[in-house]
Amino acid sequence: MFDPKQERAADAGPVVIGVTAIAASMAAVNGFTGFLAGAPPFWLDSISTVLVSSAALVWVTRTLHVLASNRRARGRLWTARDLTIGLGAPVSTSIALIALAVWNSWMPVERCFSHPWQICGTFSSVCGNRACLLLYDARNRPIYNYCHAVADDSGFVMIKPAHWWTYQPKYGVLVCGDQRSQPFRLSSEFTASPCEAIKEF
Amino acid sequence: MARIRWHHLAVGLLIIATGLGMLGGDEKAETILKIEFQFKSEEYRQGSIYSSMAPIIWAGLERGEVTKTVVSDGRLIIEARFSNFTPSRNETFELDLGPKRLKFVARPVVWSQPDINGWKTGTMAPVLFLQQPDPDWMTLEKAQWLVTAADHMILELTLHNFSALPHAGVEVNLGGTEHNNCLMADRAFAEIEIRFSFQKGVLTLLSSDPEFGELIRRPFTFEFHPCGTTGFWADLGPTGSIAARQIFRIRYRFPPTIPIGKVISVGGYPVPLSENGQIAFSTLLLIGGGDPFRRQEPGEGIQVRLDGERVYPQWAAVPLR
Repeated sequence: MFDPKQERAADAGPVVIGVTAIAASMAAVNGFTGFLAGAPPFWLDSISTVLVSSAALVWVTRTLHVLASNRRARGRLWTARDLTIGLGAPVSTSIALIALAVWNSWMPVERCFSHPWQICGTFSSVCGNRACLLLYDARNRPIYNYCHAVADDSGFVMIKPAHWWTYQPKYGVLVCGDQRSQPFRLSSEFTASPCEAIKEF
Repeated sequence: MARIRWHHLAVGLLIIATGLGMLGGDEKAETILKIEFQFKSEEYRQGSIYSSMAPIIWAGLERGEVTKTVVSDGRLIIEARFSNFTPSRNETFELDLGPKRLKFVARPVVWSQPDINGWKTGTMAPVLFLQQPDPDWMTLEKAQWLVTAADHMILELTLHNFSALPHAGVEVNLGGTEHNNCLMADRAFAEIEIRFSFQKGVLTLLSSDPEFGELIRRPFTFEFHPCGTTGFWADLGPTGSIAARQIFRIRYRFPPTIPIGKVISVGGYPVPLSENGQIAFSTLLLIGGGDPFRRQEPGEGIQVRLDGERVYPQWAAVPLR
């Protein structure tokens, strides 16, 4: 007699499970931690999105396949309960993977449809022209792997990204020698013309 | 067929010429800067300190015109203007503010539409120098001549050490120069010994100047060139240390007359000397650089100069008025 459980067990082989586990892990690590900091976040997000979306596609396909198998096995007299047999794992995996794909794709998609940005304003501190600025994206990941030196004695900064795909900074940390400020949110004034924003430390 | 009249032709040529002039002429641009400066500590955010700092702004070799300096909300606000000047994107400006030199890069400029004469005005985003290190220098607040009832000339200097550190003091020099236009025939050089007493003290609300002056012998160099610069120079000695956050006044009292071994003539006429070979000290100053009836060139006139660390300004004009 045809057993849908045996068919599912045969299909969800170790390769699929392994690839899924790797994609999901990378997407989760990238999306929720700064562990992969150093590489441009846009590309990390994009790669994670592609990987986890592919895995999600496999699992959605599998879910539909199990659903169709259940229906075929029960013939014309099927109930809703009959159809859901063995769907728990594929459905929950699919939902988790889709959520991860959305979470990872959100910022690259937003970047693609946004205008070029600039950060411009004065970061006033007793450190003067020895200060520099670390910039972080909306998920607190460093955007650059170096500290942006202020341009002059007033602490003026004007940063325009070299690439269109560089995320807009949302948070900053002012560094003065061995000292660091608390992370602060870059208000919208710092992206507005004509550079009159000021943050005092 | 319409006839072309001469005045139509003239108007047409005028319009064309004006258009060409506007296209081919130099850019008429004026850039306006606004700079705000504030010390870190509130106690130093005073008009008296800010006003002693005399701002000068440079963009390369171009000097800006400081059009306004006001103190508002504990900040020194400076407005400056550069005529015929469009800052490049990477232009670096220098602001001399008292003894400090601050550098800043050009901010974005918002340009107005050109007016009827083709002038356009650009307003640069404000430059904010906040939380600046507190002043660690002493300022020469005042230098003036006083005359006593006995016709003694007194040079009074008021120094303000507003820093939180004591100041080691400065060496005070008095000098004067004046340029002559070959109207005179004689040349003279004299090393004159003058004796002056000095007083110094701290101004407080409760006490007047304590006196501890003694007569000090100092060389007073006087040089007279009929076709050059006439001048004098005197080293008045050190002030001694000045305590933190104190206004310090020092007075040098010169005798009414000083002996001079040589007759000086001006324009062929001898300088009035007293019968016993004395010259009035004020006359010496007048010959040396203080003629109040003559418009002096920059750098001429009687000046007091302070040599030492952490003092600003280092010289001041002391006209005989």
